[in-house]
Amino acid sequence: MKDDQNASNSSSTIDGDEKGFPTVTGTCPFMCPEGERAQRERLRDLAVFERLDGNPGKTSSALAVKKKQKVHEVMFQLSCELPAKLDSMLRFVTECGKSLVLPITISSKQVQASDVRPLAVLEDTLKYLFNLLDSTKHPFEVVHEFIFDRTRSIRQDLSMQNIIGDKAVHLYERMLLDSVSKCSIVQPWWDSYDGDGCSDGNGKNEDWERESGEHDSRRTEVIFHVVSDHKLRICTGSPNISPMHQLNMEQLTKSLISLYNLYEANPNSHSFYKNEAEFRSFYVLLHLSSQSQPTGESLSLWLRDVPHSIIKSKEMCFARRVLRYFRAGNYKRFLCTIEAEASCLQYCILQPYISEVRAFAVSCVNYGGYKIHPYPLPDLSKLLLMKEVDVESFCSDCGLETTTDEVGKKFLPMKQTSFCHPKSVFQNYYLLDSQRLER
Amino acid sequence: MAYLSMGEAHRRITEYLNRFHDAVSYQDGAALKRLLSVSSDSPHLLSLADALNLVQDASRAIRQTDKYAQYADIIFPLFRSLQNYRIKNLADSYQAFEKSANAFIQEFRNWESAWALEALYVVAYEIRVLAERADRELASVGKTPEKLKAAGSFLMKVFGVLAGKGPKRVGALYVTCQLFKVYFKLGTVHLCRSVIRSIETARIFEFEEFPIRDKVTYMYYTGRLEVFNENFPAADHKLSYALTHCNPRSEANIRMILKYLIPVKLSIGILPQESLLGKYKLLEYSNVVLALKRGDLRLLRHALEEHEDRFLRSGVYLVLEKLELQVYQRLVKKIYIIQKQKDPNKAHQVKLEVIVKALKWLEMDMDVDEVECIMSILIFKNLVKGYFAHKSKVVVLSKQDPFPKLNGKPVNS
Repeated sequence: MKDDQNASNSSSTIDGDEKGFPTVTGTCPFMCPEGERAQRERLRDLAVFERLDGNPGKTSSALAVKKKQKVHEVMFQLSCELPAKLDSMLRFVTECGKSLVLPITISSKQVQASDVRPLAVLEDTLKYLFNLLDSTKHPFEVVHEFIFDRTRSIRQDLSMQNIIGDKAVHLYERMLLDSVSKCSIVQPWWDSYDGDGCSDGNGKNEDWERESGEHDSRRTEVIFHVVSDHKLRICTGSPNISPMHQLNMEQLTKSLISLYNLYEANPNSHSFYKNEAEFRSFYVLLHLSSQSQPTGESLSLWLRDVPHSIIKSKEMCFARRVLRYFRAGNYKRFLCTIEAEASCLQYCILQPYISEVRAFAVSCVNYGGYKIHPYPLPDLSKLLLMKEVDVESFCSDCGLETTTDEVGKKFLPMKQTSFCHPKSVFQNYYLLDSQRLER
Repeated sequence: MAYLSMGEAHRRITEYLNRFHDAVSYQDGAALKRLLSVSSDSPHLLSLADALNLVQDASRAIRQTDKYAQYADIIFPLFRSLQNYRIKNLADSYQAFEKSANAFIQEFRNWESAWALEALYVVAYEIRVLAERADRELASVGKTPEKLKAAGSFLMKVFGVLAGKGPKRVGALYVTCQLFKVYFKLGTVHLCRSVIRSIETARIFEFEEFPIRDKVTYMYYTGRLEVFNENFPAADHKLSYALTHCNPRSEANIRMILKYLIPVKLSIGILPQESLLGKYKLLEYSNVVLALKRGDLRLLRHALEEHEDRFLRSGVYLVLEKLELQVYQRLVKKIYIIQKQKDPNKAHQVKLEVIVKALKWLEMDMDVDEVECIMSILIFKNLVKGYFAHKSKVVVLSKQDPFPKLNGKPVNS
């Protein structure tokens, strides 16, 4: 379902636009509306980052950040559905695979302008949140969960307002770039990012600046999710990671979809959005496997609506080639192509598939190989683009034994019957043995 | 437009009202449906619309007479819809029609038998078609097209009305098909799931009871959904059903079914005749079929590139891409056959270098490692029986049935 924000409407009234969906101009000057802050102090519902001197019942305007509202996000996306059509709404809610939630409708009475943060405050909030990513006081999962929830709340506030207005947000973009560049994993990508953005050189800077505000917060959000996902996978141990990972993937996909709607809202401005092709390619990469569809929607369907210029872009062509190799099982080309061409973020997204494909490669080799000739591990390491020392442990993760001959060379015997897929995707995280992608 | 007098205009309106009243009183579904088909451009309705636009306020005529007043809620907005339609205000026409349709549904609920089902079909059809046209109009003036989405919600409501135990339930499939068309047009195809579930699992529905025309349409759309999700056996079953039960004279419909059935059949190893492709103008598949027959990977890639936009739009691109493995199988089989002719005793041993050469001849650049990779996949997926010897860079084929046929099953993933 598409997010129905209409970027070309410039009016923002509390009473709502013609569709009956309330558009609000937020006036809340704090990261968290006062009412909510007071209530959560009373209920002692404060995250660790929000506590003043560690006091679970005290916070301040500098620490409290608005929480994601309990209203089901699907409600926002059904922007043309009036509350009266409850029946259809409930049906739509279940269709998203979410459990049925008692519909809490957002009527214009309930949405107070003073509870909604305007763009400037949202920018500051996002900046504050990203600064927390560096925090070493708390485990990454805790940081992630907090930021995860609070960025969703930013998205809610964005949805409720008409953000694209007259405000120049050139400064906003720079600021976001700074924040995100603190994520060391994405450093190489941001170093090459052109902060001035406008790519077609015809000087229409104002147009681009006008659009870029909301657009870039979305983009930053997406980056956050990709990076978090990556980091989450590195963290081992906590059994809570897995559902978080799932949620993160969902949010990542949702942010991507919102971002695509923003791109589509200005069909004449494709040339301004330098990074659109890469962000579109993420969608393909997230849907490589027909089993794990984050949105439950087939890739064939999505590809129908992608503009021709994007289909032909370098990034999309890369993603589609990777898709082709993945689906054919062509592990050689799959791994080589990624090693040679993937961008940092694309690589982050592809990591779990790389593990899957390597396991598949090992199982194919083991299945079809000649019984009498065990496969030399150096050759296997070249095939899997894995350091030789890692190949051994990887084989053992797959339930396979390796042997050593008299002169110390290592082999994988063929036709072993004990093959199994490596248990946890989150452990034993083997990087692609690659000069280009070295971290 | 010929001169229309007030008198004549009033006469037309009254005549319509009478017809409406009679149709309902005599439970004449066929007559009623003709009075509701706004977009049909029937001379009768067009002339009525002209009359309405002249008179401007037909409500007095309706309210004055009791026998018409009871249908006021249906007829007022219907008149408005017609008027707007006539002067090409399609968005307003849709809006008014929806209001009328709403009132119609309320009445329909109260009518006991299913006499008005045909009229209901027309209402459902009009809702969709008027919404589509309204959205085109809205888009052309830069506004957000939102009527088709509303039409979808409305049709769900209609579905709900029909989903009961009585004789009206046979209409549910027609409405379902209208919903499919709406969702496919909007791209919100996942919304089909809930209606499909209702049709297929609710005990009140007996699939065989539905009219054949609706069953064909239903199977066509659900078959297409299976294609999107790459469930080939299910897609084959549904699309084949649609094909066999489709009116043989309806070439356009057959073509639509074949457009999706052919990629499915290819995926399970069944190739169409060139004559079939020609008869139904589906020649975009010609080279794909040829590539499969020849084991010519270059031709397959070329065919996909040539018709990329078309295949992407119909959603079959990824399905066709997956045929690659079958093309490789065919190529290796050809090499095997050639070797067998030269020296039957050694034919089952195929050097990887030979395959590399064959691919080079097809202008495909692959090294020995990648060929070994492909061979190991073919073996793993049972497209080739045998094993590969890494050290000697040779594939050793099984002496018996080294290239198993798919036998109606897709290549296992």
